[in-house]
Amino acid sequence: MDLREAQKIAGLARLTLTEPELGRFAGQLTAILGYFQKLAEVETAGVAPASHPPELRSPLRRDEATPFAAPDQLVALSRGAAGELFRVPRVVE
Amino acid sequence: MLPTELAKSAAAIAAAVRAGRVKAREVADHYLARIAQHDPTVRAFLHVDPADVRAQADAVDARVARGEKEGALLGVPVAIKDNLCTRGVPTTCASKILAGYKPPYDAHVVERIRAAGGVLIGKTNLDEFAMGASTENSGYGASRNPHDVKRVPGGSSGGSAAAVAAGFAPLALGSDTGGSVRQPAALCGIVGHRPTYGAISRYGLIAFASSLDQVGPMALNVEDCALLMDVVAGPDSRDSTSRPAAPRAGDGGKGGAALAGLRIGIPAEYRSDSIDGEVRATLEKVEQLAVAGGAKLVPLNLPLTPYAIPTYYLVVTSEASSNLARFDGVRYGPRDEAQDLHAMYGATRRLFGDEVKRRIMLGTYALSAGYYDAYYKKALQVRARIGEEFARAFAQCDVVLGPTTPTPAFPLGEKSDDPVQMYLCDVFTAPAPLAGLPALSFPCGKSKAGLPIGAQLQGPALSDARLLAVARELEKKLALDLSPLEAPRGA
Repeated sequence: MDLREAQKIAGLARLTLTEPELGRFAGQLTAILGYFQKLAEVETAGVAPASHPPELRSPLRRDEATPFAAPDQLVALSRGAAGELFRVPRVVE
Repeated sequence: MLPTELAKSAAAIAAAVRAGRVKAREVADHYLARIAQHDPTVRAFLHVDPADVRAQADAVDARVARGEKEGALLGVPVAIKDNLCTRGVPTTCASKILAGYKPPYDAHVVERIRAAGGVLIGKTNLDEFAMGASTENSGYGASRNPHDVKRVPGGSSGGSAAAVAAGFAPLALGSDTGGSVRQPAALCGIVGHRPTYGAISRYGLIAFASSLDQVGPMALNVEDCALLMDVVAGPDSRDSTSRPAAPRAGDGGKGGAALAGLRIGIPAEYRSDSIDGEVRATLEKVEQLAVAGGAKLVPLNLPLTPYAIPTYYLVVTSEASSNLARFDGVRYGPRDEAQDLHAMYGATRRLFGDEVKRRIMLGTYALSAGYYDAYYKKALQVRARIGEEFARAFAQCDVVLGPTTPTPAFPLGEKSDDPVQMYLCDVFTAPAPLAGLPALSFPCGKSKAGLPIGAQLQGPALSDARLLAVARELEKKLALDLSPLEAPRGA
């Protein structure tokens, strides 16, 4: 991973990194990704990907809304709380 | 001071409080005094509020005085990993990005502990967002191993493990994504259980990697671990992975005879030369004790073991990059104001530590266009094969036995500059979570230098009660001193 690629990934991840951080992470991530190449040794042709523990069957229930006891307390945690809303910088010009 | 028989057993404390032989307040004062004396050395806790602890204990005493004596944890102090939400009590995930956050609700497991009469004694340190194997990635400084304070307690639930080993609480909760309950339990000489995926609700556990995260009980001995497991396990509609028929601890092995006829799988891959000689020799003694108890050893191969680490780290970083997107300054935590939204996100997210940033970068990369198939999808395919490999193994044996970690606790700073070396700490603990399987670490001896060594039992899904029963019988045969340390060592 070179500096340009690291900068691009940081942007996608909404991370603002300094030049020295970018250089350090690019080097470390290159080493880690190199180690991960080991997975190429495993034959996986035709194997269905397991995004969850293979054995788990998620139980289903009715999708019914249940009110949270104190929504105002949740909103109040924000540094940008404005009544029932979260205030953020302008998004659309 | 509590009598020794109480200080080494949560079950004995609950029984004594129930019978009126000791007040919950006396128990709380005992542990608070130990924390005040020794936690400046061990640094297990991020937050302890003695007045609140005493108030909780007094409420338990009032409950007992009214004749309300049900509750498995009456008056028992429980240390809580700081990635579990506690109502009105700081919950930081050891991250600067959650500094000052006080959740308006309790995690499911915290509700259950309160309902059972337990006393929340404090919030314990961890690697930031549970990302690490030593607590050195905490945003608030590393915890120390009470058996040698120049060494790490393991991680990420290192504060919880250190708290139990140092006698700051007889029970603790941790969370285990790739070994974060079992590895610190092994390094601190206590018991740590990662239950079957879905056994314990994660409602109120701050998400790290959702297809792997599990809450796990930690204790001085197997009986206590089973006691806490039974309090916190069970269905909860607020976690969609919570099992309607969740596994329970059963009798925690009180019945005995768990070893008679038991088929114990011994994978060749768990005996490699990369494992410390003392760890190997100690495990061989455990195998001999099991055989003496009537178990049969079944030689096995789990050839995908060395591939679990890259698989695990690709899955975990991909899921973390998504889960941690919520920490952007909008809804909670500090906010760094800026002119536009993206600048605000970026400025606020500077508060993440290096390992968190590294993992978010890695996960974002693995999920990004052009790399998804080569990294993330490939890892999910290997994950499926690891699950199949375990299924084949459990057709031949009932449990798998091996070391929890390749070495005893390592010195602080030894691996902190080398992410790959730190990741390799999880070599024996990462496979079970990938397959959703239960696994348990229990103390099986010490190195010549006095450092604890842990043995790990893994079983098929829902075999939690059996793992606890087998561990309990082996614990009895090992006959180690499982008391908490009188004082931290090596200071």
